[in-house]
Amino acid sequence: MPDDTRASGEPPAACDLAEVCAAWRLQLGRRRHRGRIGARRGFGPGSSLEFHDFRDYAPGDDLRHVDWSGYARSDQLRVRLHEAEVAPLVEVLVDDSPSMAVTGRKLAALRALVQALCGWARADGARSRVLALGGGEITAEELAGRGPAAPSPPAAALHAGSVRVLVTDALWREGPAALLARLTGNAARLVCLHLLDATEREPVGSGPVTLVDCEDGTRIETRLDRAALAIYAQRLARLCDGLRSLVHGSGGVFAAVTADALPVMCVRDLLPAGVVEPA
Amino acid sequence: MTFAAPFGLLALLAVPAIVALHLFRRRLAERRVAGAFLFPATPVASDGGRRRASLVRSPSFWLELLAALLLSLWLSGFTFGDLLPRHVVVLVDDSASMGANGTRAVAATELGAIADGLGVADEVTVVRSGTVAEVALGPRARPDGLRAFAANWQPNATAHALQPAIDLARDLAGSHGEIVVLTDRELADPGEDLRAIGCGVAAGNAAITALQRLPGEAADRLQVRVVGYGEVARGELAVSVDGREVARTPLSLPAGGGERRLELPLPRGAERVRVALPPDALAVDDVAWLLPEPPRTVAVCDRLPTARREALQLHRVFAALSGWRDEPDPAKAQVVLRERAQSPARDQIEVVFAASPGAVRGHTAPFVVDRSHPLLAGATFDGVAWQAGGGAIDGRVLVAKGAQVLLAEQVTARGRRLRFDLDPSRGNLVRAPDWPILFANLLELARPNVPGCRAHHLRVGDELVYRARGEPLLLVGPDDAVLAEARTGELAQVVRSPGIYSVRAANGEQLAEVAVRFVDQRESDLRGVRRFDRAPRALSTRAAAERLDPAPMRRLLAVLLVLVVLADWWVLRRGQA
Repeated sequence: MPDDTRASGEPPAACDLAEVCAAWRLQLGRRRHRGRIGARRGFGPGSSLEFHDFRDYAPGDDLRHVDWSGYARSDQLRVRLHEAEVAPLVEVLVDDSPSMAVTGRKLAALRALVQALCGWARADGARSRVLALGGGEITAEELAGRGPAAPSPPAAALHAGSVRVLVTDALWREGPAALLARLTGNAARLVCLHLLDATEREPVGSGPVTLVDCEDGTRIETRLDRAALAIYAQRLARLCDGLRSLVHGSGGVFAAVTADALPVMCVRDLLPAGVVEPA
Repeated sequence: MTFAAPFGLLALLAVPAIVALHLFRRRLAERRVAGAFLFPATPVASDGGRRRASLVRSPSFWLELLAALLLSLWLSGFTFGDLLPRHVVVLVDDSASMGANGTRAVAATELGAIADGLGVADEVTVVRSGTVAEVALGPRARPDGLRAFAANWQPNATAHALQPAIDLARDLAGSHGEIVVLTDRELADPGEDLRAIGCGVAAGNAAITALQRLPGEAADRLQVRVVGYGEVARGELAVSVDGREVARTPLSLPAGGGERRLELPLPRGAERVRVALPPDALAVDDVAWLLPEPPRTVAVCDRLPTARREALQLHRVFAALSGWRDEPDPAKAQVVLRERAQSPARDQIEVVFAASPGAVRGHTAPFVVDRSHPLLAGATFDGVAWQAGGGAIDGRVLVAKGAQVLLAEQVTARGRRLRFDLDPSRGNLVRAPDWPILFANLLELARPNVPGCRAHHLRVGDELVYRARGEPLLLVGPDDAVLAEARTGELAQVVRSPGIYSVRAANGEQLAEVAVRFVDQRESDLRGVRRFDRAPRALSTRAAAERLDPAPMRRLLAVLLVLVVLADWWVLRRGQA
């Protein structure tokens, strides 16, 4: 398990980010969105060319929308409604707890993912904002692992019908069920990116060691032998499975992401999970 | 924090101990991880290798060091104003006049005031005056002990000088201590470094100064001599025999003080007589006792040949003397008369009558006589012609003529030997008046070695001596407390308070009783006692310095200590959670 070397994972360069944003597109899902006028199907009638429904004529309705052919057949005045087209809102919810910055590579991957998510939203004509769990709006550059170490929702109110992308390692002592239920409530789509460092997925080492938790300072003396690593892997798998089940149970998309270079993460982790698709 | 507060120094050892514990405690390589709760916590056995690790200055480490420092400061009685506790040496005049009613109360009040003025960390030493000054409390006892001493203190000593006690107090006080003298009379030369408090309350007092049994044909009579000092209220003198009051006589002393002699009839067979005055200012001199005194007969063992005995005319000499008896067993006798020197038994006087080798020569008075020896008290040897051998005899010379020693004393490991270089067949010594005087002195010289009590009536301050034949002895005081124990059969103890003392065998059998009474005109006369308070004219720098009561500081240190321990416990518990 390498130690904390933040220099090992630098944020992606601007050209890399632009290339990734151009090469991939965020899958926003088929559900209807809410938001300002845009290019995505939204809830209710709107002003697009796509037919939505009929309804009885009411005084004041635009006579251009009256279904005259239907009136000829049924002698009833009905108006034709069209679907609304909106620009969806992508809310990137970031776990900025100390565990997200336990290694420089993990923190760099977090920042890259957040920047990419915002870039993909922008490229798709959607709006985006980044919210820290337990905090308010934040930028990718401000992420430094200084947020609360508990699964708490953002302090700012979430927009109904938004696409919510949760980026976290879910290494909380408390279960994330309540948080996920809160995030899923009125969202158009929930995507959970379970970001872990490679050393967290497969820790190595041998011999006695004192493990110091980066969030609460807990010190655990243990011997990192095969048995201990097996127990750790078992517990981590149980934690990942639980999170995946919760996300899937709420209709969301779950992606296990291992901190790495952004293009690698897109190809290896995000694409198979259905989070992104080739542009 | 000094050697006067050893517990503080001992607690200070906790500081290096804590550092050592943190240096040598097992520490593993640390890794910073996320989700440490996912790892199993397994006990790690210590591996071989380096034992000492770099010191980690954790909050717990600093808190434990701080707790150790606070503990040592608390135990050492630390104050900001005073690094050393105050040490007060109280010298109490133990003379009986300090026990007079008013004086005793004033002294107790002053002792209480001294104790109140001391802080919890201060120290006090009490020196009691007397013929031999002694430390009655301490040295450097806690102030609470002074109150207990004041409650139990019973001054009974006869008049004595305070200077030895003052010298002892100065030694104990050193350069930083304070000396306070509690007395009832002005000090002749108090010195500049001590505070003198006069507790005396002048009062009239009467005392029994003499008590005597006058043998009579029909009945004995009791003669009592009472002396009044100042105005003494009228009262009755009570006489008790064996615990039963048999007479009560009005007692009226002359106005302004004076003496009164009383003679009272004693019932036939009265043995234990107690005479008591009515209560007055000083109780210690109001009671006196008379006890029966068994005769102390000297055992004399005559081992001389008949011819020598006749030549020495001992039958004529001993017929004129009393207080002796013939003892055939030389081991049980106090005096053994022999012709040849042998080894005297323990505390035995062996008298050897033999001429030294050599031609017998006559020596006429005057002789050189050692008048300091009790054997020769009253002996003049006027006109004496002493026939002695020509040789020399060893020992301390008691009588000599020129270079010829005529009488010498040899002190052996167990007893003593009197060696007469004498040929009784010639000369006139055995017919001179000095001859029976020598034997009378000899008996008195041996009488203290007679088993039993040397005296049955003593005064406070006298030595009670009882000799037995080797069995263990106990001396029981008037309050039934065992005062002394003798395993060798000789008991000697200075009696310090009046009353009836009892000498008992190890099995509790009473062997003798001794009456001790207080007789001291200077202490019984309470007219000259005074109240005063003389401040020291020169205080030591240390004593003059302003002192702070360390009690609040100790409380603050205790609170801080508890808080630091709780903080350490919280830090450790938080680390283990």
